Amino acid sequence: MTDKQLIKQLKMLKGLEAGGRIQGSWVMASKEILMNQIAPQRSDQPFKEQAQASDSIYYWQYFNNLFKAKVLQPALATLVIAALMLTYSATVSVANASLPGDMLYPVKTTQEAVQLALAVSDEKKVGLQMEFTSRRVNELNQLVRKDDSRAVKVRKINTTAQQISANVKSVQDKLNKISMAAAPNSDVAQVAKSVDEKTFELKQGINEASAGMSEEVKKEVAKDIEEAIINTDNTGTSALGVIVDKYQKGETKISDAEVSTRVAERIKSTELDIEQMSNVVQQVATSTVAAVGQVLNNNTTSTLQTIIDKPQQAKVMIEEAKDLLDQKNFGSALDKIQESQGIVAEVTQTVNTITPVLPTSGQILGTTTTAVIGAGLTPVQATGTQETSESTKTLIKTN
Amino acid sequence: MKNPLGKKILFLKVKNQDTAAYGQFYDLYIARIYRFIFFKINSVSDAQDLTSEVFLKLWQYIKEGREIRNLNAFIYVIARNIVIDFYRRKNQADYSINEKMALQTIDEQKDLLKEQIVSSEMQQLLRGLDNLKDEYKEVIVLKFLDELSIAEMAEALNKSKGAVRVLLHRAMKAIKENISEV
Repeated sequence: MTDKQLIKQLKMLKGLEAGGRIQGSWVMASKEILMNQIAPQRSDQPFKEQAQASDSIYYWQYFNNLFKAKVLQPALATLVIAALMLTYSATVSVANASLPGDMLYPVKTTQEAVQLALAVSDEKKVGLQMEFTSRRVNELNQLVRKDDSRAVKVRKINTTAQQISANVKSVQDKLNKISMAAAPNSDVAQVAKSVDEKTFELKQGINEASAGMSEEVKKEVAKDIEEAIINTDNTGTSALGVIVDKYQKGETKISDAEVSTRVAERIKSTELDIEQMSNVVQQVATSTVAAVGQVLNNNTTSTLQTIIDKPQQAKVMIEEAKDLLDQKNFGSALDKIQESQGIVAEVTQTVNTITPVLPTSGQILGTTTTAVIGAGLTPVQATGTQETSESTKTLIKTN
Repeated sequence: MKNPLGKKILFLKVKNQDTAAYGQFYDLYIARIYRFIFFKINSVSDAQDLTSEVFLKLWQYIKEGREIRNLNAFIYVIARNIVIDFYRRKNQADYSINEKMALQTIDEQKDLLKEQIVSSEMQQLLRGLDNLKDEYKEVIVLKFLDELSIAEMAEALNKSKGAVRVLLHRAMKAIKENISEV
């Protein structure tokens, strides 16, 4: 049986009582009963007039409801949405000035997260993350100056420094990913170049923040700050690696003069780090020797041995890098740079294991400006007074 | 009623306790409510009683001033509940449709034969319809016997229009199977 036939039959059913057709006589009777039940007795005439008069009321009511539903409600909804959007953007612009711990700070970070999520390509994400990291460095500087209690300040600084580390590491990963997967017409090296350039700025910013810290704070945040710097350096060098790699493969428009400049800058920066490291090692050595009267475990002495030669090794390596640069052998130059950076990092961390053992210890960290490590490493008496001579204080530009 | 605006105005009046309007409303809905109940009860006299009850109950709701969003949907809710109560009272929840049919159609057929001859074809159709599950039966009755639109059916059954169409499609399939088996 087709649908059509079936429907036809069903419709025929309609007319049968067996198909639920109602009995007309019953309808009339039951209606009368119902009307008597629901309405009190009234004379018909005025009732009819009343009915006619009120019809217009109902039309009015109907169109009123319709208007409310179709016009007012949507309009109201639009207004509400517009107000919300305005409030949101106002909040965001105020939030941009906030620091960790402030009420609106989460708004700032959420906004950043949203921006990141909306960024379509990895290149864009890298750009955004560098921007955000630079904000973190600014916040770091502001936090140092802010009037918080020491514990609070330390916590906030540590968190921010950790965030910086995380960000730059992420940038490094993404950059590597892009460079491997890159389509030939996209210039990944340009992205890498801006990352490389920016890492110098970041590092400088972190060092400035560090310089502004009080001694106690500096001690407690040393580890995280150091890591932030090391990671920033690594990201920068890694970015440089991408530039060199793409240059060698001929996959970039960057000129060899520009590549040269970038490598040279990196060498310069590393040289400063080495210089500073060798000062530190020297200080540690002298103070250790001078503090012979203090408790020195075997561990410390042997560790000292391992780091004494390192500065020289690093210096040799960086000279080699310079030569390779002159020969335009960028790849090998970069390798040397990385090797020497490795030494610096190693020494830094080693020194940190020694210095806590000494009666007073400052924190040793790399800087881009020439630094003299002062306060904290002066030979000390048993009473352990921490005295810093005025001259050394002014020379301190540690982070 | 092909006059949707007029219908809406009528509903407004009814909600405002306009008795004359209620009378018109009654005229409009009596047949379909009766049929709706009849196909669940299968007894003319019981269906009539229950139908009257529905209209009375609805008026009570209106009188109480309770808010009714959708009159069309609401009256079916009342009708459905009244049928449920009826079965509870009669304690016939366990009876299958078939048994109900057996109990009652014999009487019905006797009544009907007085008024009209029910062809065997129609009987077959009726049985096929009755053997359907409730959902399917409802949509077929509403669509082809009461001739409601999909929108009206959706309101009455508290489903989406899409759901109604799917149900209808499946119901047609089921009834065809039923008929071919019989």
